[in-house]
Amino acid sequence: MQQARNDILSCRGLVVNFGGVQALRSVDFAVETGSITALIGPNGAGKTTLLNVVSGLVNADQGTVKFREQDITSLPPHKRAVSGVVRTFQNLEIFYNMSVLENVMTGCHRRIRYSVVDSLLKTPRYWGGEKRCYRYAERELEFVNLMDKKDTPATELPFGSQRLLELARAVASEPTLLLLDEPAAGLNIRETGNLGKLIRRIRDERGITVVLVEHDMDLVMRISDSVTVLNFGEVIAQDVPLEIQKNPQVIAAYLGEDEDT
Amino acid sequence: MYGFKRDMLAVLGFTFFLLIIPRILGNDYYINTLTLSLTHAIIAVGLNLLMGYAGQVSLGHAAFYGLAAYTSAILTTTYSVPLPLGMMSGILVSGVVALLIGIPTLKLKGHYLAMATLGFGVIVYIFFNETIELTGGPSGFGGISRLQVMGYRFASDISYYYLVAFVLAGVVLLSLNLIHSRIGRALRAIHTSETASQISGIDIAKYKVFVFVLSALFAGVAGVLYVHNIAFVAPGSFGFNFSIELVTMVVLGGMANVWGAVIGACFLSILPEFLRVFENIEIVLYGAILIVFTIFLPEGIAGGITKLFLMMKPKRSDAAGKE
Amino acid sequence: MGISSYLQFLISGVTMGSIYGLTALGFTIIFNTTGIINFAQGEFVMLGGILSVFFLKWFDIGLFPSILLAVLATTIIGGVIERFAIRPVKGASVINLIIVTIGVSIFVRGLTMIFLGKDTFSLPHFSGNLPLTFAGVAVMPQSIWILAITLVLLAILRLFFTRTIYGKGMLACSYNRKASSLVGIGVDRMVLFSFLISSLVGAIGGVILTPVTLTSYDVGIMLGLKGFSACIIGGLGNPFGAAAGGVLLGILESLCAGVISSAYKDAFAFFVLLVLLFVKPSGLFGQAKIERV
Ligand SMILES: Nc1ncnc2c1ncn2[C@@H]1O[C@H](COP(=O)(O)OP(=O)(O)OP(=O)(O)O)[C@@H](O)[C@H]1O
Ligand SMILES: [Mg+2]
Repeated sequence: MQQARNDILSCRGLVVNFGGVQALRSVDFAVETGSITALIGPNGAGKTTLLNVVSGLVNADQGTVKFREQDITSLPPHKRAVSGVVRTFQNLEIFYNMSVLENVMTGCHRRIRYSVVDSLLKTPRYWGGEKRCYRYAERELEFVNLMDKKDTPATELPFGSQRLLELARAVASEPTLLLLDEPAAGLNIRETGNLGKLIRRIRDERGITVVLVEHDMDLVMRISDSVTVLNFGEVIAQDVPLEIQKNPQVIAAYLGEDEDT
Repeated sequence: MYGFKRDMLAVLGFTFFLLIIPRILGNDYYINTLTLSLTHAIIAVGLNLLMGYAGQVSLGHAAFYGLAAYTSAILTTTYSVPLPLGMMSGILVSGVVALLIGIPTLKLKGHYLAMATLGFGVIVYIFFNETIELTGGPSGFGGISRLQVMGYRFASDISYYYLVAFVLAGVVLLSLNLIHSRIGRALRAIHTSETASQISGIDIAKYKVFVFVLSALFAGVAGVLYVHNIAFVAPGSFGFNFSIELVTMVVLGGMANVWGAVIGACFLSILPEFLRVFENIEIVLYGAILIVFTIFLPEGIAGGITKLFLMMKPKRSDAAGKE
Repeated sequence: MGISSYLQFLISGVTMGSIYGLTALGFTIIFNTTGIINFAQGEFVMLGGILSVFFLKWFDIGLFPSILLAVLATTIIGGVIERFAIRPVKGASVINLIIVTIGVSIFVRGLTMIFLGKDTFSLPHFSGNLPLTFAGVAVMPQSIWILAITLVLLAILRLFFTRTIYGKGMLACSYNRKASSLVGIGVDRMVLFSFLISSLVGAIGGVILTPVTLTSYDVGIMLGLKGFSACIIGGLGNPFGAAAGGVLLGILESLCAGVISSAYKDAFAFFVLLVLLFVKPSGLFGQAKIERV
């Protein structure tokens, strides 16, 4: 069954140990091209670790990661980003020494290419590249509705807008696979609703495949096509949202801990 | 975009200012001090690219300054290599050594780089002192020829001052240009979040090595300008204390501010002229500056001035950012 | 060269290496609780030695009381540094932390120079300086003192980290700062404590070393640098690896000085550092640090 679908990402047998903690124990995880795949699980289940392994920030002790049929297991993070795997972070990683616009322009880094000499001497190639970069960045800021804040220092944005900024920066690098780590954490209901729409549009209008790690079950059930459940570093279920809600093992895993996020 | 015209105007204004200072002062007594402070400013601007923008410390930049100075001095004096070739080699040696040191250490976190550059600086200093046949040892050697370009000999102190002023203006302009490009953004990104930089497709190791080598090249330029001005070279000018003085210049002037580095360099280089007791307290003073500025004014003098300006000016609307 | 001269190198290597090890241990203790590489670590070693010299001269209270006083004073200085220079920049970027500790280190060095002068000073050997001879190899009694005190100190620290609430707390602090503040371990207090312990360890290192090597206001740079090299050899973050790394470095250095050239002895530590950074940055005994995201 898994062979029939067209998977953009497929991880096999991932194992990650941190000292004594087994964060992932033989995880298989596949993402269908064009889908919004949710990854849920209690705190400490290993969701962030899985995203880290996919984006290359943590090396798996065992297992392989395949992206678009290519084995990327040992590729460094920036090369994965260049080939189209981009993510956001649970604890925001904004460039706090830059304006909102510059943050997004940095996201465009790989889409504009001019050399050091071009920048030192401000050649026409530099100007061309910068103009394009500026246009790309403006477009993403319009997209997340932060255009009026473009010259604000990133530190001065309210928290909710910082999440959007990170999203804009990620989208600006034109990924094919976008990994979102708890993008709704800390957002209010209205902001979360808005975010849900944005994620849908990212998939529908840009054709970007999305992996969504999230604790907000409403959001997950509303927008995802498929849900994978991790518990104690193991995949305990993978199904469509409706079935997941009924799955006794999943219910048990969630009852086993206090929901405090 | 990015106030390019503003940068150009500022650099032109700065150059003009440098050119008229000697007239304002009216006597030649301070010219050599001025030349030396501009020479230091060249290094500080480069070090600021590394420290202020990319967030990587070097505690051994005096070594790159010294390597270039010694290389050029030895080649042109002992081996009678033509001046331009000797100077080029000096700068090149600094760059190549930076590349060799930078590749292993810059792959790692900031601490490693700081410590490795500290060690490197100490070692190069030992080397200058110990290879007596080559460097003349602790007492150094003189008789180095003064700069001469295409038959023109920079014989007077004032002509040399103008030369260094022009080179500094060029270095400042190039640095401003670099900062306002995708490369500059990448460097600043590395400063705040290496992870997020990688995720944006930035090869952090490559950029760190690049800016390290670039800053070493600037130090090299300053080194050859220095040695063919003073016509004498000794290890004392390139020790650990000078490396720290360079770091202090950057912190004092303002990290991540090209003009700040210039201000810091001039301030610290001219200060001793007015403080006769300076020689004994300088190191304590540097320490105090580093601690106090990092705690209370991390933007440095330049950042403080900018803040003051912004406070005095009524807030402008967003549209003002565009050109 | 006969076997006995190699034994001689080995002994002087272990002697120096113990001090590098103690310096490295000091680095590690602070690094583990704060993530800071304390560039002033070498100054603690310098202070321990030079203050002993001056307390002995000024107060005329005998060698051991002077030493105790010097160690105490250095420890207090370590605490003051944490409180007034490190705590105000809590949470600052790595580069600012580096700059502050460098500022502290040259500030301390500068003050020492101004108040105590630029001369080189010596401290009496703890129990005479007649070498004991074993099978043609001369051993200074001070070397035995150094080795013994280092071993005792290591044993005490080991007990401290594994048996006491504070020691365990400091380890918890290094494993997970947020969580340890949640379970009620005051992080500020732990950081202060780590500075106290590491200045104490550094001062003791300085005290026992000074009779062998002399001291002056600027010995801290090289000692700090070598201590850091020892940390890298042992794997940054691994306290006892750091101590072992120090001994290894001392032996290598002494062999280098004896067999190759003593002029470049100091260059050697850096060479080792660079080679290790090239081939095995996680050190010989440590595992690679994984950054949390
Ligand atoms: N760098 C690390 N070093 C040590 N342990 C780690 C590290 N990163 C994660 N862990 C541990 O691995 C386990 C999985 O953590 P992970 O962050 O992947 O969980 P998560 O599912 O993202 O949880 P949350 O919902 O709280 O974000 C946890 O026990 C965590 O403490
Ligand atoms: Mg997580």
